[in-house]
Amino acid sequence: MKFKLHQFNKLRGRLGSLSDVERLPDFSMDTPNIFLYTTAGCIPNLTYDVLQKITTNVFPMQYPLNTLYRITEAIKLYKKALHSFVGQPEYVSYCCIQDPLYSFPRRKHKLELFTLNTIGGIEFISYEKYMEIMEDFQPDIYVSPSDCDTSIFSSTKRTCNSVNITNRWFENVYKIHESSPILKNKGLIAAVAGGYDLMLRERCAKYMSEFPVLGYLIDGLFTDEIAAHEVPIDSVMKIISHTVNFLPEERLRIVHGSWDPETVLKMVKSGIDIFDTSFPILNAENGRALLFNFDVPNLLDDDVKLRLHGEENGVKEETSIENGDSDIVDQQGSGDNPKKFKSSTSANRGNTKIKCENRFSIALKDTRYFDDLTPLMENCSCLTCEKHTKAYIHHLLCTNELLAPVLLTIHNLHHYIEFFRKIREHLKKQL
Amino acid sequence: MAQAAKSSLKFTILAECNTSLARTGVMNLPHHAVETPVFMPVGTQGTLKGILPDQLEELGYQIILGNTYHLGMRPGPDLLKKAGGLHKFMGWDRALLTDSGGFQMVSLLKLAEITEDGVKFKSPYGADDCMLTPEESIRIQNAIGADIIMQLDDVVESTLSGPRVEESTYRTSRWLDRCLSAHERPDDQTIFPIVQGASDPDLRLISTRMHMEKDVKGFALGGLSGGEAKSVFWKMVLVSTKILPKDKPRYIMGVGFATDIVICCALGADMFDCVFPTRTARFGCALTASGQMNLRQKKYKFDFQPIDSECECLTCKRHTRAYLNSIVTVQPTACHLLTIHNLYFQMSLMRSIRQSIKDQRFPEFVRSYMNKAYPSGKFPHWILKSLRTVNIDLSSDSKS
Ligand SMILES: [Zn+2]
Ligand SMILES: [Zn+2]
Repeated sequence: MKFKLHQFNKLRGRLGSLSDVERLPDFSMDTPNIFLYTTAGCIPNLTYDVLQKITTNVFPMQYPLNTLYRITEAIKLYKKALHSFVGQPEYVSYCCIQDPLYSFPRRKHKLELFTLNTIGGIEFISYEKYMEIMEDFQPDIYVSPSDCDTSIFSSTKRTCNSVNITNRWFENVYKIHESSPILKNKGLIAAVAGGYDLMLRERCAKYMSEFPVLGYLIDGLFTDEIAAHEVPIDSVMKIISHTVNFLPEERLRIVHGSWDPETVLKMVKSGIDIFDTSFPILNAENGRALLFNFDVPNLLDDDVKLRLHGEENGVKEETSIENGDSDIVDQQGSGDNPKKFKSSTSANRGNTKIKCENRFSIALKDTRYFDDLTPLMENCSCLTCEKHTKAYIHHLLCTNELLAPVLLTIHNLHHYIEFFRKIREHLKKQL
Repeated sequence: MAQAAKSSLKFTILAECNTSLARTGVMNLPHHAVETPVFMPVGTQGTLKGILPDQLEELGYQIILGNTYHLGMRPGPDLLKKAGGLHKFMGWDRALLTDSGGFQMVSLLKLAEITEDGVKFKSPYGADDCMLTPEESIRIQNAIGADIIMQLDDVVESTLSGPRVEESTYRTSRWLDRCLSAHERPDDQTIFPIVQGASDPDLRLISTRMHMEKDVKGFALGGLSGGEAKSVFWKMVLVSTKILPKDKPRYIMGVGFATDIVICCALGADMFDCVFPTRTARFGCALTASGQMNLRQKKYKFDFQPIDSECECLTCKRHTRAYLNSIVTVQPTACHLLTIHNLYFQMSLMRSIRQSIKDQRFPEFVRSYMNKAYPSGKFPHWILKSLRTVNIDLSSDSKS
């Protein structure tokens, strides 16, 4: 696994490429770019064949361990890698600790162990155990075990502890990585802790920069208490731009989380290479279509404001959301009971569902779309926009049909992939 | 489509079984040609359990079913008309069939009341009383625009007997006349009458005969997916298929379990529909030749085989039972994966039936199917008896 930095500018961002995966010699991807968010091994609402209808490009897939913990035993017995077990061997696998969209109530910490919020409950595991699981999973890239469970609400004491533990563990983790025949050729990503404390970030980044790893994950920016897109942009940008100063330029930089597109642009400019697709997925699961217009000449300007497609004709305000929960028909025994299914879906996300109202997308359940027979977006070449209308998606949402999030995921992922293509295009011109 | 003769349905029989009443053919409909015998998956609300229209085409489906009652409520006939019909609204270019809405109403709404005029019910979305008359059912179905539409019938429980059954049989016939005269799009939609008569062979015979006098292009047999005994069920099918004209398709409503389909094909039926294969998928159930497999069961946790090692579906080619076990009923993707397998299973069953009739080896197909479904060799009495009636003997090992 190799990362090559092609061009960079400390204020305008960088262009690079990921390649040389032992297992997948043809793989190569330009950065800045995305890793595909998965939970429990799959992209929510997408089967492999539908993913092929969105893109045949091979993006790495992000596998959060907390959503896979229940199958660690099965994978051990299976003896083949995680990506084979979940049926996606063609894709580069990237294993991390925490699902960026997972939401759970607070819990205690245990010394020398880190917490995993799994479907079956909280698990405390040691870094040794984590490394054993990685040997079974055999991911192409993986994040080092860390105590990065911090957010903007964490106390200095808690954040300080998190850095102490993360640094202390890492030295041993690196030794295990180097001496493991399975892991030593995989890409190791060092997690950088430090919450929202500049000094602590600096300390952790400096320490990690001493190790010859593939790259760094700037971790500990949000937790389930507060989703990424709810963190004030200024606070998070201060941390990002400070932290990257202490990371070696030629190595990969990753940030997880459902940041809104304007924050993503700011992070790109401060030198982040990789993001995940939790933002488009979260929007799709909430009945929202990403419609922000990234086809603007000043995309990488400091004061860029992304607007919705068609918003130039007057700002749209969301009106009443039709109450589609009146599933009287189904309650009376057509038997499908979408409600039941729905609740089990959100249980998977924890106790509270992450909200995601934002000005980069529209909520298709809005009654105004009832008879809107136009596609989500004119000139979008995705399957959803080519074949379906807003009125149809509105109908699917009101009837709680499973196809609604499928169609929205198709459009949102397509839109997000194109957004990054555009970002790289601008960088090529401006670097 | 455009160059075809202006006919809303043209049925051509390609081959008939020399032993049983089974036949295979092609039904040309305005939107697509449909090979029979055919299984039609149910897309109640204008969508099929999270499966894209493109995926349905890739699975080989040529016709699917929509429910008039649900679509009439949401999104409603006005919007469907504005959209240019359900085909355009849901992005499905191939053939569609809609039911009349009557069955749903009677089975879903306890407050439904049936009079000579139609079915009276309380709207689930408001306090108003609504009335579904034969004319209204056809008006909605004309707006939906399916290739095949159903008459409104007077549904009674299949286990009922007595004067109510007689009333429903004759009323269904009267309602057929009203439906036919209310029909505004005879050039691109065809109405199927529905044979009623519960479990009374005499009434079923009368009902069939009455419908045969009308100018219709196909027939449906209703009231056969209720709680009636299997020993009654197959006889009720045969009462009609024995006398119905050979050159028109016969549709057994609500029947879709693999074994029932095989028997009904032997008895001369051509079309089937059932929510089961798609509905059961979301509860973690996969269909296989030897029965249902509930992937939620713990025993699959370390089972690294596909659902069915002989299945060529996208799910079986890519996923193990162990992985499916870890995501069923939790991830919507698991539901899609099982739906794809179950739809593939139904499709390959129908393909095998069609091919075996063409090759004149349908009886052998039935025997091998039953041996897989009942590996102990203990066949239910009704299966032995119904097949024997159409000259297929399960106990014989020799070729007929
Ligand atoms: Zn689109
Ligand atoms: Zn299969």
